Amino acid sequence: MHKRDENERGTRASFAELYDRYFDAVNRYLRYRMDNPWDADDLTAAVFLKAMENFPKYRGDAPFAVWLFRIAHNAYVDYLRGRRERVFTEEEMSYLEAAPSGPEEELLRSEEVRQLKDMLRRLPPEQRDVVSLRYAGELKFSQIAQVLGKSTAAVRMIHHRALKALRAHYAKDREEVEGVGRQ
Amino acid sequence: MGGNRTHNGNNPDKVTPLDPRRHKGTGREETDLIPDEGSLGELLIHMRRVRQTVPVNTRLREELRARLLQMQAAEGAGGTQRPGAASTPEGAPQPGAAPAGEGMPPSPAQPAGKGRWPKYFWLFPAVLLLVAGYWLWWSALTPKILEAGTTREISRFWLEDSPLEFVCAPRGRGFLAVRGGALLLLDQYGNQTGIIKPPGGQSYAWPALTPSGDQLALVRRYETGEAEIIRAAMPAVPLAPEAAPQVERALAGANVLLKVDKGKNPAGLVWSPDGKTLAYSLEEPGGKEEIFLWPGGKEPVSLGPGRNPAWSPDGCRLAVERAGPAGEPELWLVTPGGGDARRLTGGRQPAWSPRGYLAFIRAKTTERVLTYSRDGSPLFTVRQRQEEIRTINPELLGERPPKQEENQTLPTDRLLLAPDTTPGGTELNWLRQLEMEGVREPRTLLLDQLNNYQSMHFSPDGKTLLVARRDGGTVALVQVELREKTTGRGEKQ
Repeated sequence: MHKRDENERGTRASFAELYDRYFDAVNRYLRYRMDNPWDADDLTAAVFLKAMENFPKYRGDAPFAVWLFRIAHNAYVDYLRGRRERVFTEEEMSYLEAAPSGPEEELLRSEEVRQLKDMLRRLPPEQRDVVSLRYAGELKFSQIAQVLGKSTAAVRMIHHRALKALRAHYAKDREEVEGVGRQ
Repeated sequence: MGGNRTHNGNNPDKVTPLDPRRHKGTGREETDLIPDEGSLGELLIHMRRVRQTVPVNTRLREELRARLLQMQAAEGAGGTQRPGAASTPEGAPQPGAAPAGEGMPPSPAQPAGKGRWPKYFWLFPAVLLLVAGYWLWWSALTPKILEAGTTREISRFWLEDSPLEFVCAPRGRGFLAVRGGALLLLDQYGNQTGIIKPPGGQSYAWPALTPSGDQLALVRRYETGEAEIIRAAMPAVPLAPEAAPQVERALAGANVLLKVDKGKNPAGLVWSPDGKTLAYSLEEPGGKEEIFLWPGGKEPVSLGPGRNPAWSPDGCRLAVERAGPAGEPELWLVTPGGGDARRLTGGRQPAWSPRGYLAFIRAKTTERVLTYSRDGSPLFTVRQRQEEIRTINPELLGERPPKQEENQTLPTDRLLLAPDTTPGGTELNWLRQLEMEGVREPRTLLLDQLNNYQSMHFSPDGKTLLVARRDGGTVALVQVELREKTTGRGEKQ
């Protein structure tokens, strides 16, 4: 991986090659973070269009993965901001909220993805950023540090805390599930 | 924990593997592990498994790649070459690197060099002619079927007694839906952008847009029991938040097309392809339902019994739903003149695509094997009547569909959307109970009929199907991408 980054800096890697290499990571990162896979796909397309537009400006100072994930992360933050600015009336909210679902509906969804997204939602935003970039974007700690503009040590610490918090949520969820199973 | 880790370091597509990796020089592992943390290993395995569960949209990957290629070809081959390579410490390109001027690889239609153009120039129009000829032959002669592609949920609503009534606006302008007597505006992404409530004592129902999207017909009901069909001019703008006041104003000044007597219930409004004739059904107090055409300014014309009319793309026929001898729903073809009517097949809720396909909902009995015995024979089975969406191309049946016996279906219809057969809580509880009782003989669980699908409409361009699907305590409005596929050799249409 390290070797590849150096190659990217040193060679004239084509955008197509880089696109093929990073599409899955970016798409998965956005799908991991967003509830609506359609929105995640739209945002993925927007990220690569923007990356292609700005590719001539890419100086190679940072690894391409870092540069690309900065675009993806910023696009996601903008998306969140856009959604937050939308004003719903009370009547609208009653339509938009999901109904409490029964066991059958629970099984129809991908239980594991739902559970993880649920656990992620309970984390503070910076921990959520680090965990998503690490596990969906598959970035190294040093790369995450560059994307988020933090030191590698700080990212390691945030990651450590996030895993501890996730472990607590996970253990609690498991206990509840097993408790229900026993009943 | 380490033993459970999968090694993916050899996969060139990964940005970085999640296994512990050694830093060059330091030999230090970049690991996710926190020592002495009890269930953390299990959590990490879970998270890695979840990462694999999050699917990547491979179709988007290919389509976006093609689009980027096209854009780059348009900009010129050198447009996106990374100049950073020139400013790297190494300076010159390394062996094996792409040549200068290369961004995305050139598209196949793009000439490799200027000098080759004059020599092979005649090949270009020849290939174009060949492709055009093939396309004409393919589109006109080859039998095709409709297949469902990507599905996305537009919106989700609480389940109500009345079905979700909705319609697609043309050219991706959005969607209209009626819930609880109010008209909802949704943009092309399914975000609710406005809600238009009728004046007190009134409610809206059955929205119908003309194919061009410039006219909206609606049923307006009064608390006193009377109803009328109204028509309003729709603004030619996307159904964004700013469109709501315009639609509200248009509805306030709507024309009344037809007044309906107290107790009668107009439903299933749908405009003809030319946007001049409105078809609808009228339910009378005894439950009798009749289809009518409103040909603009003239008296309505009856087309006989039925409900849920759907126009053929040429406007020469309508598919309607009628009750069969045993009360089961059937599809019939009728002509606007009210003449020859023929039974087509069993099913309900017809929707006719501008591309000629007729979609409908049909119930069928499904049998799912939950567990097998050691010899491989089914052990515990679930049997249930479930609904599925099928399509048929009535054009291929000719003017007069083949005569069929009652309860027979046409051999040419095709499955478009299957019922969801994922085991639910009831099945799992049943399995648990059988296990507790130590049952080892084959058993079958009979479940109540499941009506997943409420109604559906094709988009005005026929490229997508919008389906209202019941999902637990909610109704999901789902958009299904459609693609035509030629039937294989020996395969029946």
